[in-house]
Amino acid sequence: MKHKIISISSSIILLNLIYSQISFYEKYRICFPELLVSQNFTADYFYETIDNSFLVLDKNLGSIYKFGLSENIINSSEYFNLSEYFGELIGILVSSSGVSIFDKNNNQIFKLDHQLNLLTVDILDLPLYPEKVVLDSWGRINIYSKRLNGIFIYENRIDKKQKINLNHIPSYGNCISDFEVNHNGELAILDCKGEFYVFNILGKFRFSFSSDLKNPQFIISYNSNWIVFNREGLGTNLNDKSKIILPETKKTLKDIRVIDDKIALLYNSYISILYVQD
Amino acid sequence: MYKIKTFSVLLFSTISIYSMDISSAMDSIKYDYSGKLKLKNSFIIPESVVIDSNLSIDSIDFVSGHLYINSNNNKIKNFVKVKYDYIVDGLPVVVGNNWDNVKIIDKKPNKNIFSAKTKPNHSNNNDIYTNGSIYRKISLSKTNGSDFSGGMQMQLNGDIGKNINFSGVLNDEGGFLQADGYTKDLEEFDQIYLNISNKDFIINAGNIVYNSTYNQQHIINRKLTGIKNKLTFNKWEGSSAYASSRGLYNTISFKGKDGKQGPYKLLGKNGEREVVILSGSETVWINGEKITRGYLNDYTIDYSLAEVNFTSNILITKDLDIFIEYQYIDNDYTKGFSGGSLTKKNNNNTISFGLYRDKDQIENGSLSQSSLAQLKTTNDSRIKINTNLINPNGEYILADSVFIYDPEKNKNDSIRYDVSFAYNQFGSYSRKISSRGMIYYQFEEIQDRFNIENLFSPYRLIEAPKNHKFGFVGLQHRFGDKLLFNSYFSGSMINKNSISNLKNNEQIGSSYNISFKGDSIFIGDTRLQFNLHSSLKDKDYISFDNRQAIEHQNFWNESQISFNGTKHNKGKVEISIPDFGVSSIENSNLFFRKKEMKSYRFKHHFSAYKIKNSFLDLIRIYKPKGRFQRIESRFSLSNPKIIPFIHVINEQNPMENKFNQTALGFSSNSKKNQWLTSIEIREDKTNTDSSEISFIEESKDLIGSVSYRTIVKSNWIKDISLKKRIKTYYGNEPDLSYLLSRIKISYKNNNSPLNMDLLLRTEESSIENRLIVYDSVGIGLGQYRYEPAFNTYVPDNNGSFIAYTINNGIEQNEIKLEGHKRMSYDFGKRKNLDLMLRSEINFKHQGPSLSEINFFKNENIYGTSQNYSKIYNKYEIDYYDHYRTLLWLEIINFFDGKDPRGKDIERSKEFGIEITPFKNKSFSILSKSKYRDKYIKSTISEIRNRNLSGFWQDISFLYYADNNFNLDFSGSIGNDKGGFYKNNFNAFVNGVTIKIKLFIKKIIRIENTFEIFNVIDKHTNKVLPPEIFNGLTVGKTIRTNLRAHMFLNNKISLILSLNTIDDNRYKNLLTFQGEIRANF
Repeated sequence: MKHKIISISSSIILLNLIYSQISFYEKYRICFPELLVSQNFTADYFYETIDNSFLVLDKNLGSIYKFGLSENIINSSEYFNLSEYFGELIGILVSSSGVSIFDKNNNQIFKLDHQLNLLTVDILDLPLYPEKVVLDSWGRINIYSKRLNGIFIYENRIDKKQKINLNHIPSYGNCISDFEVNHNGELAILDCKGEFYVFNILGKFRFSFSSDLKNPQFIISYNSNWIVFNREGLGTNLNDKSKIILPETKKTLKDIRVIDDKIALLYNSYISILYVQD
Repeated sequence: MYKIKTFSVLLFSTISIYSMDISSAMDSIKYDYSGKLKLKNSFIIPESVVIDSNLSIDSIDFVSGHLYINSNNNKIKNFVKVKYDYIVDGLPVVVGNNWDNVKIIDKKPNKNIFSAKTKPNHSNNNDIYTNGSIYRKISLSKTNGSDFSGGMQMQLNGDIGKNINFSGVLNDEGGFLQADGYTKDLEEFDQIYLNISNKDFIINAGNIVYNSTYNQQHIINRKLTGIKNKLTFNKWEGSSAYASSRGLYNTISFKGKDGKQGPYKLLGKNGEREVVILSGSETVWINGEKITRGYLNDYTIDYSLAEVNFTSNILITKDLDIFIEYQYIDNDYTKGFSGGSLTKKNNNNTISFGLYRDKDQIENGSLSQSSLAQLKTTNDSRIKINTNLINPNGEYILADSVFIYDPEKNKNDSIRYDVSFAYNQFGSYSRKISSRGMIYYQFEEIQDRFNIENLFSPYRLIEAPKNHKFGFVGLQHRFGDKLLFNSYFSGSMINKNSISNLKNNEQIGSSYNISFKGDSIFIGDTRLQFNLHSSLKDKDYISFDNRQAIEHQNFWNESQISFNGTKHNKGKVEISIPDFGVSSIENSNLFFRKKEMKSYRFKHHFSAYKIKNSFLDLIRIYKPKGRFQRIESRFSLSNPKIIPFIHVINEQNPMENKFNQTALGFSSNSKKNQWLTSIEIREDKTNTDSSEISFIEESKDLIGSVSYRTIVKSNWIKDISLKKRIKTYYGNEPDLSYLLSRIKISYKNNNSPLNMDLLLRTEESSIENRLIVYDSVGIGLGQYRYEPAFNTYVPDNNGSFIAYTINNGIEQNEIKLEGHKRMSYDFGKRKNLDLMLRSEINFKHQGPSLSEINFFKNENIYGTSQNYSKIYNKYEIDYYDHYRTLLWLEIINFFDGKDPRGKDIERSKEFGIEITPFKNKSFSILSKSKYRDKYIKSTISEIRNRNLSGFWQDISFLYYADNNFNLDFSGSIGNDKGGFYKNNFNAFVNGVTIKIKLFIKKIIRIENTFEIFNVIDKHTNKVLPPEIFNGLTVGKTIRTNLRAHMFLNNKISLILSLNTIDDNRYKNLLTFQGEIRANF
């Protein structure tokens, strides 16, 4: 017993010395039903809904599960399956107007209402073939197109003028891992080589620099901090270069979301909700 | 222990930034003798652990909450009680104090970017988080006039009190909505979702789905706009709703049609065909079994066309009972829906009661004063309204009481009319399409109407507003733990014309359902259950749902469904014998429409392991026409690897038909995959004489099935389903032979350079022909423009036409083949070479046979083929290094033989290359070259014929000296030559495009695009095909676009946009848009 306590205490003190500034602890964990995990389901992307639940998308099956967040409905799940043909699904977003699922191969958006009923399939007017999508605080969808090398705005229909033309970014490596828009409308891109680019709300390029994190995959904005993470759960706060470790580092991180003052992490068998403390 | 305490204090004091809640818990854990117990919580406070047992603990892992038990504890009791304290939120994984945080000096010049950390700007003291925007937009156009629009979207969530959570969205920007799917009566918002909840209640407001049921006696399921709640207090629980809706509940039941997988049309209550289904409101049953939506599942539905298609999972045959429940949009009235129910449960009794009302609201309806007056003076539930108006510019004239379409005004001396035609199954007009693709209606003689699927009339039938009330009381009493008494009484009142001043138009009905059940009565190991049941629905009773009819259709095998006027008695005994199975004996009778039917049923499910999933089912129904008999049995041998099975059905329907069906096959359900292969033989006989039983052979059916599906997620995903059916008729009916298939194979591995996706789907079905038609909505408001020189519609944002599809009423048996193949190979994942190869093929074919899929030869356009075929190929080579190069080849072949006016053939090829040959810190060059070839031939109109080949070359210079200014300068040249109708052309284009992007301070972005092109044709044609040079016209074209985006402060932004076009098509067209948006 002594040994256990001493080991926890030592680890925490050690962590105290090494890491600082932003720290996390797990408040909730929504475990997917074992039957689901043992069967065909793979959690690829997720997004929070308007009624405190999460939608988890399996991109291969085109199926969405809804998992409750509030304590009394943890582990409840609803199931929905795309009833149309789909190609490569690259993301799911929930906005005030409904749920959008993006199909890269077919250059289209599946639009569902909040009860997950398919309303329309919107084929995009431009050959974007979306690779990454993000919702900004204005409720507009920002789409990254590798084919047209830029970021576009979708608001019921696509704005044919690029918000950001990446041909104008000299060092940009033609491949991105992730991008994010913060509450001030600033947009940050993390390219495949770990380079980080920041644009202001109007799409004006501001600066770039390299992250020293190995294989960064995700970028999030928490308060005014830009934080990058790799799939192993290791992260760097780009504002002050401090290191961050997520509670889970043995399982592969599939997706990450900032929800108000919380952070939600998607793993293959569960969603972890972290409270963040400055 | 003292040391531990001291250390703990030290430990917790270091993480002072956390407020750690400590809570107590007592776990009762069932011990499974594994040597380990797991507490429900982790991070246990060591000294707080008290164990209510004599067992000795080896050790405790206080972090994970595991108790390790001494192996000598063999006699401890099943449940162990452990009391302890624990840290509620667990320990933080990363901890630290701010004092030791020393910022690393930023190597980049822009140091101020890392501002001090701030709290989220969206938070406030109430713990409610909101974000969203509100905007107002004005559009001014020389041709369209002015338009003022706006919208708002907002999301909010948080806690508003102790354990009360609040979340929701408001949206009135539209766009996402199903057309007319919801009422807008709830304020001005298109979508509202508000959710307030705690452990005792949930309140939802906005667009809601209200569900309520009592023991499956009634099922209320409505899509509504309003408010609903669910609550629990003491032993009561209940729900209520107060809402409105455009949805009208309806059900449809029918038998399948041999060889027709779909589409099956969903109709309105009065047979209306042009209805729109509320998304997600449908439920579909096949032979009494609920089936699942989805193209990999059982059926798909098109809500706007109100059509259901069944996938290859379900082979549709003529004796399948299909029942569909749905809600469709009622254009006449908004419905006011209100009501609720309460249920109290205690140990032995349950009482439940409820009241509901569904009322048409005329104040929100579209009734004219004259219609209202007419409805008030009649008891009828519908009236007839004329829909023609005299208009000097009308497109119809009236001759001998018949409206004749005359858009060209060939008859100048007649009075002209605007006529609105409505679907009417007893109408006298058919729908046609003019040579310009416009819809018109033509009178048909009586003898010609039989062959026409959809008929229309120049008047409209208006339904009177209705008021439907429904109430119920349910009582349940349990006698001991073996006997259960259930009673259910309900009443309905419907007024089919609620605004009529005449009386006696209310229809009042009642129903009851009483049952007495015995359960778990054991005689030795044998368990007995019985159920006695009696129900009645009088002829005036109208329920809120029609699901009782599913049994009527499926079990009693009656084609005419009765929703009311029925009396049903049933007795059932079920005997469960271990290792033998479950037998049930059932006797029931049904009275409806003065007919009486009696049924006997014996069913046995085998439970012995070797033959589990086997059953025998015998049904006999004595009907007025004679004895109906059905014997169904299935025997399967359970085996870990392969399960052989035989499934036999023998059915005889008096005076109608009989059949024998035998299916043999093998199936397997391993952990990795599922597969099934079977062969089914069926013989059908039909009764030829209505007065006596005289069966003759009708047809023979042979169905072969193979299916395979991977279950475990791997790089390869395979889903294969093949069904071949050959049906041979002894009579004159044409034989059926078709294949239903779905092959989906995909490969994806994040570490592998290869990515592949293949889909192939074939189907034969009876399909109604669909046509694209165009309707004028005003210049600048449509998406297409009409090119009279080519008699064709061309996509154009400034056009005046919109396009939509209609059914032309012609239905024929066709084969549908569609699918795609997509492959990509990324060398970057293997050889560090930034190169990706992609190929894509999409195809769709629909027509009488598969052999005509390559129907793209010119001479074939004069043939009789009625195929629709489209094949799209695309190949790409993407070198995505610093100097990016993209090459592509796109080939499209298209043949449309479905338009009754003629046929179209279209072929195009495009080869392109996009290179960035130079790129440095402030300057890059982008070259884009395209060569293309296009051929269009049509028998609809000769003037549609055209062909062209040519190239287009852009060279762009991208200058971005600093972050505040970007300049893109492009020079373009191109040449297109070819012919249209009887003319040749050889056109050249040259021009420049200048794009300037300017950022002023941090708050203004100005973008300006200026384009000038000059097109010269050597053959001096005034009009050129719409495809050339991206739609440029002959002569000079000047286009400008100026857009300014500025922030008035950090919340409010202004967007101004000015567009001008000056060319031969649009002379000095000018549009302006201004938008102000507040973000919060």
